[in-house]
Amino acid sequence: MANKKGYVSFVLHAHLPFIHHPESDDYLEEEWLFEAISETYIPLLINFQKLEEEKVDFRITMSMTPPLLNMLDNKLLQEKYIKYLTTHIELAKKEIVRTKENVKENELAHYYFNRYSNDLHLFKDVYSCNLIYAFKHFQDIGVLEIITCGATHGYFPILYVNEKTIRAQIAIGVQTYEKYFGKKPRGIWLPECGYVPESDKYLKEFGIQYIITESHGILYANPTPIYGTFAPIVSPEGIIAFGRDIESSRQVWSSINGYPGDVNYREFYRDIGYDAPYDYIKPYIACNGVRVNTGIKYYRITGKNCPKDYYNVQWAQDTINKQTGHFFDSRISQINNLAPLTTNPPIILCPYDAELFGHWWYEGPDWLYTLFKKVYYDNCNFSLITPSEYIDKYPMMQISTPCRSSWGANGYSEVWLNQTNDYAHKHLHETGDRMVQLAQRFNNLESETPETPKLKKEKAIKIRALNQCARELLLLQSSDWLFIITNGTMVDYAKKRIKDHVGRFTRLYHALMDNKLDKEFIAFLEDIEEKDCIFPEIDYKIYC
Amino acid sequence: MPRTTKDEEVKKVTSKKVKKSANIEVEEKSTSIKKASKPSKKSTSSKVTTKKSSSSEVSKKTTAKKPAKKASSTKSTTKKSATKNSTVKSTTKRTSSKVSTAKKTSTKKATTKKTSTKRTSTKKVPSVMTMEYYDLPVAYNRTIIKILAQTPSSLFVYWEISEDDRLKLQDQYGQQFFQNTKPHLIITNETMNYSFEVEISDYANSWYIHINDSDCKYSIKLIRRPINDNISIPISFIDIISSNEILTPNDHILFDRLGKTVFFRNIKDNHIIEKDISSLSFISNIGRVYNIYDLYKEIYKNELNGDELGVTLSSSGFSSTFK
Repeated sequence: MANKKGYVSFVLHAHLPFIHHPESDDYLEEEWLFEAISETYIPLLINFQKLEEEKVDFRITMSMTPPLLNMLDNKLLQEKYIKYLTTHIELAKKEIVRTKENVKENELAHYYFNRYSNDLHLFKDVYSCNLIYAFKHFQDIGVLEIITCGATHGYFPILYVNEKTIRAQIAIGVQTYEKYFGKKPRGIWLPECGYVPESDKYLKEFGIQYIITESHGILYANPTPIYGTFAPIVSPEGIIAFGRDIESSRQVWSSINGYPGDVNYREFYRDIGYDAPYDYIKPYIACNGVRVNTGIKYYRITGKNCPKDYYNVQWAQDTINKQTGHFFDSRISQINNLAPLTTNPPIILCPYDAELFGHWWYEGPDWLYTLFKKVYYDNCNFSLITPSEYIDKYPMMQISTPCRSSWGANGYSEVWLNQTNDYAHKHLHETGDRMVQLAQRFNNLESETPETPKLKKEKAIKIRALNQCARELLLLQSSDWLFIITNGTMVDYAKKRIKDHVGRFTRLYHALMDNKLDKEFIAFLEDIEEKDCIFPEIDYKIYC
Repeated sequence: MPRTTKDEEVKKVTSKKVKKSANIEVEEKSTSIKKASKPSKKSTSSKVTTKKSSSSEVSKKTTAKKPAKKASSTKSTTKKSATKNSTVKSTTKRTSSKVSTAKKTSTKKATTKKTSTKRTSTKKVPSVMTMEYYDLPVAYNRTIIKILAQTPSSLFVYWEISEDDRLKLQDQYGQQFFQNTKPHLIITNETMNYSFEVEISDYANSWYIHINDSDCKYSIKLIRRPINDNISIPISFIDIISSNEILTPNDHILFDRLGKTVFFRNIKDNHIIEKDISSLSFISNIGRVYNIYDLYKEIYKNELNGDELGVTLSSSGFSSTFK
């Protein structure tokens, strides 16, 4: 990669909480994964593939969180996704018939039929039902850098009152990454960009080189970084921090004139789940008859205060071309202004939720494809780069401690700690303390040599129960539950998950402490091992 | 705490049958208490979480008040995904927000919100699977107090006094100890070496505290002060428990702490160099870098809530976009 006047680094954070319900087919929350696969992950892979085939050299970084990796690798969820696609193909077929009198709707019905059919083909025949290896391919050819995340997206600024619990989040995040990608991650996406300096020593311990922070994680750092967010800093412990660029973020996120709100883009909130006749759509909405999104949408955003117009794929592509041109020109101008002010070429870091691209912003993956081609072919003063490449090229950086921060509203911890969800924190902390207590009490369990078969069996049960305790704690720690409660939708599910994981952990804890490992307990253990099957290789001693 | 030494209740329902675990102890009930009215804007304490403070019987909690200022800020937090950006819409299944200018389709949203998380009709429960139901423990029978930093200007603190410790206090100071004393929190800023005190309530087990100084180390002590002459103690209050120490976040650019030199490290060979930044050209460059942020503040003023450097530019409203 030739030296340029500056660099642009896209980082997509791909995350979903671990949702796995073998006990029922009817949890709508499981569909979050399926929607993300169809709308975000497969479209990203398709576009990466196109770029590879067209020999376009591009760079992008993605964090793939351990819960997401575990779900993508889960056989039952893979089967359920195929079922989800089959149902959608069936619905799209019916739509072709239902809309035959309406040319525009009918074209789009064909479009969705083709799209879901292609997803099924790709998923089964090309990706062999596992998208992880499809992403790994792009890492292996050097265009994608995959980084890790906390084990279950636990929010460090709340967990760190018991540092062993953030150490475990980091350790398991790294272990999961190694399992799927065969090497150590160089970077980590701190869950919710939640940074506390106390985590640096553990990041260092597990070989993490860099983190991403919100803009003020760098701007309010101590001492003040003289190049702002346009150069990484290194903490006294040796952890490198890249800060989010404000200008490029706003161009995408801005509610007022952000790219995804263009009138030609697909309207997320008009879906045949709501628009189609009730009796017709009933088999494809919630089983209790409540209308929900199906993914088949016929309208574009259109304008304010006017009827919705039909979605037009070509118009959306025209908008993509126009917007990527704007983004491209803006970066050229930004880098021209900055380059004289920095010693090394400035880096513009653009982190986003991966699921913004495709799920919320339907055209997002195509937008990235178009931009990456433009950067490659058009003459410009910048290149795309990954944080690791930037570190390797420009290893000299200012020593400074990032500011405690997050990318939550107002920049600190209010999203995950407020009057709607603060009841949960004592349970998070107490369960963490008890896990450490268990790990210390049973630290030598594995080296014990039981004398009788009964004791041998008992030892095996104990180890399983201890490992399950660790899984329950980790699942409890997902920042997602606190976020959902704050956000005010799907609250019951989030609250139930908190109760379930505390309840399951507590039952395991008392059984272990009291050595009451009866048949009923073993049945319970088997049951929750199947439900909460994240991290099959976990070792509870990480909490010692 | 009642009868046993355990501290939780676990309810387990196995095929329509409710079984109680042997370890049951304190059950949390979901009796919420309505929020109290907001205290004055400058109030230092913010929220009361009510709880029946002792005893074996169930009790529980919830929120009461936040100071007006805090309350409004929390509100905006929550809304960021929903309101701040007029574009955002909440939806049924996966809720939250969207970046677009389109509007809500009103009626649908209402319908959607009612969507239960789980479909009911075809639910099947394989024989191996047990149905479970749990309540959160009300108490863990430990004497603890823990602080968290919510923002640079607010701390959250929660506490619990174990049954044993409650009995010890009653043994030492009389059965009416809790009636004759009131709980207070002493908040100490250890960095700047000052303390202040907040009177709290026996019906609370957590509190929000407004603090004036960011980027400082704080600790909190739970104490009780006599409210009448029926109790005799050697000093004016009794220590109950001290918290962990916590460092609060910084909330501004630290130009004032920027000396004449800064240090750079080559992360490949750990070689450290010193850079003199006192020259006019360097100062001018730093000024120009940070002027860019002032410019952003100006450009995006409609999207900011007037915070120092636009930390609300964060995307949090959109993070975890499926939820």
